[in-house]
Amino acid sequence: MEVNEVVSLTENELKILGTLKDGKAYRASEIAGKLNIPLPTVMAVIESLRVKNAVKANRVEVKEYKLTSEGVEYAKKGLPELRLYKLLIECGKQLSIREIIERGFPKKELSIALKWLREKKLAIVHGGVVKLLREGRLEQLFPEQSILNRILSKGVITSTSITASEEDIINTLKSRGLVEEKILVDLIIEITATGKLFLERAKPVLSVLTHEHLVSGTWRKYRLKPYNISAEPPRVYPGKKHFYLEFIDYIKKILLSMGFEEAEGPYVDMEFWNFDILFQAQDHPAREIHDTFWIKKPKYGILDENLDIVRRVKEVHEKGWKYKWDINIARRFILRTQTTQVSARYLVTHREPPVKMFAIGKVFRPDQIDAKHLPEFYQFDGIVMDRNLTFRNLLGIIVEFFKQLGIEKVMFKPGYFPFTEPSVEGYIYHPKIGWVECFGAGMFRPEVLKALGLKYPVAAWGMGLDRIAMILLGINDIRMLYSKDIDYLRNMSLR
Amino acid sequence: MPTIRVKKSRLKKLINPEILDEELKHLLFSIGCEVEEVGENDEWNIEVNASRLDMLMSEGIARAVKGILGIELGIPKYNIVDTGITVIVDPTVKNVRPYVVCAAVYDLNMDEDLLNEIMQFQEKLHITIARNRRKAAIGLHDLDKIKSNTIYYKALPPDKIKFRPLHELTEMTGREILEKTEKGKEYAHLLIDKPLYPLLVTSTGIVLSMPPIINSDYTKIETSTRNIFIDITGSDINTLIKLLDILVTTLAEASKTRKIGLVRVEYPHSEIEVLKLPKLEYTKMVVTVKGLNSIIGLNLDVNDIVKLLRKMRLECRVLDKDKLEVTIPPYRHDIIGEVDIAEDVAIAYGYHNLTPEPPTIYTIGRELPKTTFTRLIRELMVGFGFQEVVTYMLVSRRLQELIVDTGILELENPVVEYMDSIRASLLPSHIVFAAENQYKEHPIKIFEVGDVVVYKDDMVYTETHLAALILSYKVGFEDIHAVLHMLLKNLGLKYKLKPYEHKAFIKGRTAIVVIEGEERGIIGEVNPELLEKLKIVYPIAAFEINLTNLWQRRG
Repeated sequence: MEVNEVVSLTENELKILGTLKDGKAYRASEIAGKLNIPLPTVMAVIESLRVKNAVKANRVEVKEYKLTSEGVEYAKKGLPELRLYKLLIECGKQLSIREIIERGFPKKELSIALKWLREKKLAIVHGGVVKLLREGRLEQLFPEQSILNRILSKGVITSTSITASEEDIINTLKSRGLVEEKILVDLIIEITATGKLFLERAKPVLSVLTHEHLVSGTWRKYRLKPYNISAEPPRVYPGKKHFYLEFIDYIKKILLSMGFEEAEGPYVDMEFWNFDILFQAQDHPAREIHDTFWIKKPKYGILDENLDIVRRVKEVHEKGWKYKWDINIARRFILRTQTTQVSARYLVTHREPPVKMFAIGKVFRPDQIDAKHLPEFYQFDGIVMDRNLTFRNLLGIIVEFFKQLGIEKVMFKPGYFPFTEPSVEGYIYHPKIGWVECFGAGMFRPEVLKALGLKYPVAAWGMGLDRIAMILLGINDIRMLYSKDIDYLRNMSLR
Repeated sequence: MPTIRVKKSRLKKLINPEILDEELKHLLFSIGCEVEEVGENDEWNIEVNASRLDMLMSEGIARAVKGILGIELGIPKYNIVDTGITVIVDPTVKNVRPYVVCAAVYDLNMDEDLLNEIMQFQEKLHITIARNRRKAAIGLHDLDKIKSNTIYYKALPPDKIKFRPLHELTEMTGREILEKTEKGKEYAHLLIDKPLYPLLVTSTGIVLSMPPIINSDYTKIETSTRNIFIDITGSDINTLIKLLDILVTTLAEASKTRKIGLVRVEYPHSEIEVLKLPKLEYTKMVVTVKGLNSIIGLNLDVNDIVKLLRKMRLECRVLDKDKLEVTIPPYRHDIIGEVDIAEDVAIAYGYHNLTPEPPTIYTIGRELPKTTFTRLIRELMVGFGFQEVVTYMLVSRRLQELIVDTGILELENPVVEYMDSIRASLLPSHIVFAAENQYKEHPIKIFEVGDVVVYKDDMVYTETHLAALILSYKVGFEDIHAVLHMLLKNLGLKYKLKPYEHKAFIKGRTAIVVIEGEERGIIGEVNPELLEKLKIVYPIAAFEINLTNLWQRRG
């Protein structure tokens, strides 16, 4: 018999199977007695075990004997024939009826006593005299009395606990109205092979396995409770990196693989590094209060007008834009509006080609706040400086970068930036959105190279990363890149 | 980038009525203009590069496109005549708006569409190069209504000025104009503190305008106007001269006779003395074939370059096989050097025809030690089960003041109050983050590695910080200390905690974090008073440490 499924047994089922372990047949009533469980319960449990094929059960009938009130009386004081026999022995084995009565033998029991003494051929009655015929051991002469006494002491005996001759005696007692008989149903049960397997497997159930179980070895006594594995699990959240910073890390990896060196610069800087050095005229609209964040205090940084670089900036501005350059405007503290500020600062200390640098960082512009705009966003700038570097080289780097990012189609349009010439604006193609304008680039103007004190061409580009991240990550609202909803971050899948 | 709205059919008519929409769009794109269709009708929005002010009108765009198509090549020519008009500048304008330049354009075929384009052109010039009329203000008048050969530019007390401003029904004084008219209110800041207001008025007493606010209604241009008189006033004479060149040459494209009228402007009390305007200067520049090729990365010969530049409406004279002299028309003030000529060559060649060519420079990629170090920290924090967050660098000053005890940099011009300062610490935003998520599944464990800007001893410092925070039903000092302890141990950094008192934290449960002998941060349980103020009903334990240059301190 195979038992493939895990069957769980109740405690009572296990107890009963355990009792049957030796392979012998038992009566249900016997088991009830042994285990001290009410018989009806035992019967119900056996039925359930039988359904599971754990036991074989056969129905049998059993007689139950109990004393009547008269039977109880005779059990206590002895049967009348026994008492008369004892009297006769005492009085010389012979007494007249009158003498018997005179000696206190109850008159109404006399005929019963005489009937059974005559029947057993122990005495005869002749001419009003009772004469004893033979003597013997009481138990042999009167086995009825020992049965009566046995029933009295047990209250009840069943047909299964008596011999055939005893059953004859009980039948006689029954006919004398001293014993009552009741017929009962019982089961004879035996364990099956399946039942033995159950017993082996079906150990008490344990929900939680603990250190104590392992140390004591008591885990062996138990069966570990099977769980509902399709139930909803409780929520656990992994510690997780932010998806947007992961995206930025990915961009950085691409740039490192392309041989670029990372750089950074301050967020609060003088206009000099954000605008003047980049040949952006001091009255350029981008420098106005609507387009640049100014710092309340301190308002100005320190810039020495005698520094070569400051003198060169003044010179290219005054010559190129034809106005009086003002160092106090250049000293004004602002929040950087472009990471080109980092590129400019980097080139001052890296004048020898080849140079390949990138910077990724927050920049700030007083924009309204909506699904597409924020006053702060990540920008990415890159520069390459080399002898004989051309505008076509610049286009090549940009195409290569986007190819690494998985974007194959790039389109160029003539653009305008104060610090580059030729200038280009670029569009990338996304299968779902179409062409998206996303970067500006160009060759640094000679005025910028002169201000920085550089001798070789510089190719530069910059792009807002928030927008590219939104496109590539499929996010519609820029504010979700900086979401304050922890569940959004917890559930955001990483790619 | 400035954007103009034009009638597509009108633009086509100026170029070639047969041209297809897509072809025109492509051509426009190739010269830097992006077209956006407006609904179903005939209108296009065209975005123009800020350097090409001459293309802020259909006539200017057509002039450029005709070159690319080869319909017209080389420099456009205009007929110059004398208007006979003299403008005399009075010294009273010196402290208000010292300069004026003037010119005229004749024989315009005026209709509703052209009038709209001229108005738009004027407006776009005002908001770009003219810096909202501060640097320059343009007035356009019907030349035939002026009827006088002498015009005065002078400044008068506001109450002495009286004329009927454009679109107004009654005469007004200078003061009333600033107070009552729409334009007056809009630009009042340019005059309000001046004792005298500038005025252009003819010898016969006809007022042309009160620059930079408004023209008179009497000389306004209408669909019946054929000849236009232009005045531009401002503070920088060079800008005015440039602007006048661009304006007259572009308007002249709309003239049948391409006739431009000269005006004599006299400055009797200035070094300038007399100007004959417009200047219409055709500047010349010598460039080399080698120079142009090396900028773009092409190998063109001198004849190719001449062809390309003529398409860009420049004129060339070949000096030898490597050298040519380029003549630049007066509306192209954006060309100031060889690189600008190179860009024109590239545009005429077509950016789409330039094959991108990545350079083959050997360099080694390197990230900042800071990036390497902070990545390690971020990985450890993630390992401790913390969710990384990214918060804004611009935060509320009032929020910062509840928590930060260093100086805070405020913005002069914030966009919104809750972003009016730069963060000096990460914790304020993190506590707000925790507040907003306190009813989400606990524990709330967040961290961020981010830059902050600290202002102390009158100096501004950029620092890189790490903040970590736990909010939960039950959380304490020990919980966050455990994280800090193992983090620093894993980084191989020695630290100790020094008892401290801080307004944001509970007394006796706050410490300064001393790392490798330097005070670098704070750790503690957030003060219940602060929690209550921020409506937080669960305890918070947090730390913030300054990581700046720690990457150098590790062996």
